[in-house]
Amino acid sequence: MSILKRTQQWATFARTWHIYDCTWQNPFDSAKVVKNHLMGLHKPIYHPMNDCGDHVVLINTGEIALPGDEWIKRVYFHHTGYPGGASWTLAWQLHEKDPTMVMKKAVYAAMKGNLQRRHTMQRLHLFPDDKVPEEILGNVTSQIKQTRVVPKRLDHIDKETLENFPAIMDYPKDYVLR
Amino acid sequence: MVFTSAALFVRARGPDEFWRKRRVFKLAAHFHGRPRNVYTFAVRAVHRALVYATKGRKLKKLDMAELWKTRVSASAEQYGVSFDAFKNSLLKSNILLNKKMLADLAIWEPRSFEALAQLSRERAVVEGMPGIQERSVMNQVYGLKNLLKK
Amino acid sequence: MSILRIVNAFNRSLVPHQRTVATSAVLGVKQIEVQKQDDTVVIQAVTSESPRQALLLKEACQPKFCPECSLGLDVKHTDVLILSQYVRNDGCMLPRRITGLCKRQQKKMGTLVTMAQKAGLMPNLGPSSSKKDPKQRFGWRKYNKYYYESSIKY
Repeated sequence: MSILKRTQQWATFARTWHIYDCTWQNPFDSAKVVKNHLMGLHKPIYHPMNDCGDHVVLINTGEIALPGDEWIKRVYFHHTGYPGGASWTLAWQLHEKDPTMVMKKAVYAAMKGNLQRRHTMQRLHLFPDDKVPEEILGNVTSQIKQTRVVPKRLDHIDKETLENFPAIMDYPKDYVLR
Repeated sequence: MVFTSAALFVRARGPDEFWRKRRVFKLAAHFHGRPRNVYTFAVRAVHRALVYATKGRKLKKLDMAELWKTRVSASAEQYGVSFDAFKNSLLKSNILLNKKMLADLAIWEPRSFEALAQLSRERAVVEGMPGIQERSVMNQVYGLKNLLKK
Repeated sequence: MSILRIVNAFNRSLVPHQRTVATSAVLGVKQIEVQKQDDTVVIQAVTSESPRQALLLKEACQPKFCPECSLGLDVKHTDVLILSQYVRNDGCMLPRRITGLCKRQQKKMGTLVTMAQKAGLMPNLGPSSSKKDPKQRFGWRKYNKYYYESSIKY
């Protein structure tokens, strides 16, 4: 094997580190994308027996968004194993306790349950905000595209855009401004 | 079939039975535990194994098709084309490569695959197919759809 | 009954859309200004040019204009720059005679405005008692949420 081929082989099977910003993202839509990168489903060399998955760093998991009133409709179930040990936690309560948990469970549930799943999950790194340790951030070489456009708040839009945005409605004459 | 003594050799009844069992034991040689050594278990296990093998011949084809589809869609999406748009637009462009060949191209000849992906992307834009992530130069060409149809 | 309705509609069609006779000077929008001078409070309505006059779209100069019916725009609840134009300073939706939308669009825009406000995208347009920061809301409301426009029925 020539040096060139050996390097090519090494580069093909090397693990890449991806970063994904969860701000205003639906965790369950994002989980499908993140899962593909964790399992290596985004590579043409993919094979179920081929360990070609990448690392994914999820940042701002505290800023995820759920549609409608799903924060109070989605319920997480846990059972301690003892009689009367069942407990139901609403999504927003779980999110309040641990801002990474909803996202982590979404990715975990997006994958098929097999022996590989827990090892694949080890390659997932979750952070509730954008404070990521240097040794992890130093590895990151790629960014995953977000599934939803991050909406902009009206009071965060800069003054120039606000003033120059075309008006589509004018006040009728004699209208008292409020 | 190991005969440790002459008595055991005598117990083996007839050449026909010997060869019949031997045929089953040969198929069961790689089994674990009693299904390997005991004929009663071996013959059942061999039967089951042969049923699996028959089913597996069909399943293997399905599995391979699924694997090729995963690989081709993975590499097509690198270039911003969904699998369906990629395959359909290749068909429209009269490029009749099957999934196996496309998967092989994606792995061993990424540059050829990139050319195919770009070609299909332009075609998909012209045909107005959904599932195109990236903008293409063809978006700006006016009346191209009518030209290609002639 | 139906004859009466037809006659009424006919009568209404005779009346021109914009009034040509006005009892007060018609120049532009009015702004109420309150000035305090020593011990007298002067409240006066100042007539001024509409602030949106210069930026108005050509299509929007007609009395009736809907972003969807006239231009085919697909307005989402995240398009706060469009939605905020139909909203008063305290976050209330303007009535239909002012917005000039068709009946269906008026309802739809109202729902979109509600969605945007619930999602905390227009916190500066709201009553003075409202929490300006969506993160300060109570319970589950403090977390980010978005809405599907397809859930609007009409």
